[in-house]
Amino acid sequence: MASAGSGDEKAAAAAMITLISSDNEKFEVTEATATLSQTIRHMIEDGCTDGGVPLPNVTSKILARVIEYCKKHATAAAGEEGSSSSFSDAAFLEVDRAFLEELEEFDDAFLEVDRATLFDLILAANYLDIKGLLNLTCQKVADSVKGKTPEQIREMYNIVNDLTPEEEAEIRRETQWAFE
Amino acid sequence: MSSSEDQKRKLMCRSVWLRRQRAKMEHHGSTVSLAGTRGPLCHKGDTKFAENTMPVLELDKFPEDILHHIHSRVPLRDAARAACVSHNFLRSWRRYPNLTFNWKTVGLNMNEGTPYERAQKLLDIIQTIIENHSGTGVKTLKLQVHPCRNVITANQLDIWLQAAVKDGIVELALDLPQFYGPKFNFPCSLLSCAASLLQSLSLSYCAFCPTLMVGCLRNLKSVCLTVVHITEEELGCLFSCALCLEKLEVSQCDDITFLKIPSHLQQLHILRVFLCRRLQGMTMNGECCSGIFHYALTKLYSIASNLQTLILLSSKEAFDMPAPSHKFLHLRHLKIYCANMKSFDFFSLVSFLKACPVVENFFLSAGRPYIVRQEESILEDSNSDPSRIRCFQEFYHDNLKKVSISGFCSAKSLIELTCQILGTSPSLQCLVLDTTGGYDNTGICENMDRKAIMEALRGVEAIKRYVKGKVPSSVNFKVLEPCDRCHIPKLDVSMQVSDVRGRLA
Repeated sequence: MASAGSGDEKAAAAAMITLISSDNEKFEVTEATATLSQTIRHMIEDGCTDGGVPLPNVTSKILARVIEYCKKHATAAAGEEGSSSSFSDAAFLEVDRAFLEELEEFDDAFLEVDRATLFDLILAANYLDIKGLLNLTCQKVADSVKGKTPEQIREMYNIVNDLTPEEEAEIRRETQWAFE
Repeated sequence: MSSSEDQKRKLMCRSVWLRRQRAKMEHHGSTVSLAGTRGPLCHKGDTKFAENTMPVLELDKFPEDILHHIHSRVPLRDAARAACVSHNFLRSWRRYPNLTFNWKTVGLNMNEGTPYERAQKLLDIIQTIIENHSGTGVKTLKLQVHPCRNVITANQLDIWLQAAVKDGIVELALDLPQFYGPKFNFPCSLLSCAASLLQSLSLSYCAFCPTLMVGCLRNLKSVCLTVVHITEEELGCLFSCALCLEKLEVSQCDDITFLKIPSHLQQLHILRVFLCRRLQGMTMNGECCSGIFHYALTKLYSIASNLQTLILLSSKEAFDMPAPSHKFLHLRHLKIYCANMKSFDFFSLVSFLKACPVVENFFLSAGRPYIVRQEESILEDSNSDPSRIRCFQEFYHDNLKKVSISGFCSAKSLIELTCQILGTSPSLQCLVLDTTGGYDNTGICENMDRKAIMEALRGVEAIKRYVKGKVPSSVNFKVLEPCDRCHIPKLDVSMQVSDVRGRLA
């Protein structure tokens, strides 16, 4: 694994990508990290990344977090490839498990952000088309809705109830089973 | 929350609401004003949010596909409640993708009402949801309605399937009430128009009659049929449509007499066939599979040469000890289970040890109880002098360390196998011979009938006579005998237990 890591770094030195946030901050990342984003992957494939990739929808604060996520998960992906191609042994499985646990811990810690940041991360993940990050962040919001009443959900997320009383009464009748 | 408050909320216009939000932002940290009017706001973990400045976006104002992405990750019951939040949520609910219906997902209280009432309630909820669903966006439809016997009708099922199975569905599972079979015929026409993305199909207790008209099921990877009326021709039609099938499970499908797995199913790697009572045989890639032991020794290598662990279970197989075609050079753990074997030659399993030269752990279950016919028992064998026992000396199992045989009995071939292992395994550390019916996971011995106890005692006797003397002192040797408390008292009183014991000592 260690040797695979250093190999990655060597290859990556040849292929660095510059990402430019909405507030003009520049981030140098390896291609392996950047291509977790399908949007950037397509740009690389189309050869339009020279001079940096402007990301007008993402602030430097959020982009830094997104890159943090991609770095971690890019190494995870490299690790997975490495272990599946090699002879899968009990020792390898042990390594994999430890690695997955570490990744889970990373994800949990990563989600320890305020709601505004979480929402910005969702939007960035959507814009950059990073499936793993989008799922992770959306799941966090989804989990927060579990066990809540509609009032509590509106409260938590500042949602204006735009249903008419008649509409709301009707949908409540329809979903009455979920309130019992 | 009182209804008057509800009214107030609805009547509040957007500018008022915005003003309130702004006021809230100015009183940084004092969320009291809002929280005061709206009941408890803070839940664990929310305090951090509250302290922060207001989010730029309301959840509700996310692009619709993101909101839907979030909503579809909420479990059914919570998602239904969220539908009452706003128009956006309601629209999202109308195309909620994961329709998995069972008493748990709809939150039925199993302590309430009669089984009939509960079944009726489950069906009513499903009916309401499907009736109001737009029919688009369903990725998963699982109707786990097996407790709804006598309540559900074929007509109702048909309506639900027609409404919810559309192009884009990925997973379809019908878990129907037992004995529903003849009454419901799965509408195959659905598959032909809605199957382009279907990956998994699971049916139980119904009839399934695919024809070639079904069309291409190019993404179908998994098929599971339980108590399904399907003939081998119909199954053949399914195979010819599902070229990428990876997993096939067929259990209790009694219309099938011969299972033919065609060679074009290149990706099929899991095949489970259970309890198909009329099944007489099967072929894979045109070759006959007489039994799993035979298959493992002759064919398995070609698809899995790097195996490290191999677990085999065979029932009623007449195993003729074929010469292994190749060796599994990495295989270290070998487990073999025999079930319902009659007059089985356990010594023939030496073929497996030959095929696995580096095996370290070998476990064999001789089946319980393995009924030893008189002429098979080494105790009845008048020619049972050690020189008559079969043995191969030409190869050694240098790595074999642990051997465990359960269901140990007095069958001569089993003794021969044990002696073979003892004579050719210089690294052996541990040998366990279990004559009992085993122990459950709490450590209590399993029930054994009188016949099984008698055979177990004969197994103990055979071990004493023919095995014990051959065990090197370096080997940790253990014989598990029937339990004095649970098993021995079952023997006839007239039987001289002490006599049997004495003989064995």
